[in-house]
Amino acid sequence: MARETIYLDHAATSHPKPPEVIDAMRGFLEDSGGNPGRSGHALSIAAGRAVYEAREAVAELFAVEDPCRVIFTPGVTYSLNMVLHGLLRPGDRVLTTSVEHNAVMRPLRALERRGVVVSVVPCRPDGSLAAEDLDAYLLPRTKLVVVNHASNVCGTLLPVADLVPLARRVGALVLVDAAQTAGAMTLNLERMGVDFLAFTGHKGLLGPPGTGGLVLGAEVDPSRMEPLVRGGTGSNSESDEQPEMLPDKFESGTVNGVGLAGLGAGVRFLLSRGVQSIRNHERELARILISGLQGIPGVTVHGTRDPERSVAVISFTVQGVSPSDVALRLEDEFGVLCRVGLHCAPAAHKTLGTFPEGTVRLAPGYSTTPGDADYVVEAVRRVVSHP
Amino acid sequence: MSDYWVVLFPNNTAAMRAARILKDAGVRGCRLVPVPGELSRRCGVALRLEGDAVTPALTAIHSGRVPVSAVHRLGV
Repeated sequence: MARETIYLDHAATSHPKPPEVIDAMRGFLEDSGGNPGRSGHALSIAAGRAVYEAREAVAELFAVEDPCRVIFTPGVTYSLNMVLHGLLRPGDRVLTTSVEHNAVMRPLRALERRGVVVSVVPCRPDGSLAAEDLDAYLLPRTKLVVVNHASNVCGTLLPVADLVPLARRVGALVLVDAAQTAGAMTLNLERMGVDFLAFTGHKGLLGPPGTGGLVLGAEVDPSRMEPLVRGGTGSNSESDEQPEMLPDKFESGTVNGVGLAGLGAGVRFLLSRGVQSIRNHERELARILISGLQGIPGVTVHGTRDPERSVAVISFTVQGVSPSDVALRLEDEFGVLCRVGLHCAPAAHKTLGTFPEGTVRLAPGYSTTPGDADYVVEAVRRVVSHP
Repeated sequence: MSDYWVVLFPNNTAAMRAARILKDAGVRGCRLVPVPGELSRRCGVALRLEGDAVTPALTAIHSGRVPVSAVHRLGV
């Protein structure tokens, strides 16, 4: 096999970024570069415009009418923490699942020590969850349900839209961790019915690291949630109290203008190409990888093994060979770059039965070709057949 | 110098949103300017409207449901 580099770690961060993203970031630094929302000169206005255009693009992507309900953050971990710490108080119940990332589980465990009651619904061994599995766990005083839209370990999708009516029955709000689905599939906040959508900018949205955000549903009253950080917003400067208006309440300090310029360009790239077309492309890549890997003796693919019920995040193990050894050989001998281990999601691996060894994770993206997927399957076959 | 109007917004995002709406609507005679210190102590930008732009601009801003803090008529 010819040696080439194939990047299959899009679930960690997308690479390469579209040239438009790099151009936008360079343009921001060269031609804008002021502090958005603070001064009134041309460079500040240009920076503010770049940030606003990114906000508009994200609002369009998630079908949100009011761009002010798009809150920019340094990433999805921050966004999730903002809701969990901002909303939950001692005595409140929060319900989550057994396939969550540590970006959810660690803040929840910290809140648990402060008196928040945390319940974890066990998912099935393929990472899936039926809405009715949740029902028995939805007790009175459940304030929030937080769910991973798709597992970062095996790609399994959770039925978010089906969970929302159940959560509503006990008056709970719903927070969705869309780290693996934003940009990978069409997300319409209103149709999903969720209250909070936490997203990262540097994965499927094709922006740079250090960008992300939180979208507030139209029915969410922001006065119910405390900000994680308070400080300068460029608004109400005569007051030393945090303003209540959006997005200012949750965006203290200078925003990452250059990053958001790149994020805006990434989202516009997605909108012009069409998220559904990317979903179709990645589903085909997943189909090639799953069916190919399943045909190799000694290889176990974890999760639903169904590209219709998952995003293109495929985890596998090889009987008798550690995941790290498989990944090292894939890189050294075949130029395939992937991620191994526990993927910051020990709970998900316990659910899948792959704890503590973990898995090899293949995560193709918009830039991966079907030929790349075929090549990777063949590379795994050779690694397995020549231990 | 003829009179002009200054529209103040509660925050920078609203000002940017108004500017976008006016650009899309093709309304001329409006530009973002620093918030005049005699009108507000907030940082950032306001929208300056020249005479003929006032009615179409405020109509478009209102239609776009952009929050406005105040509209001031200034000039010499």
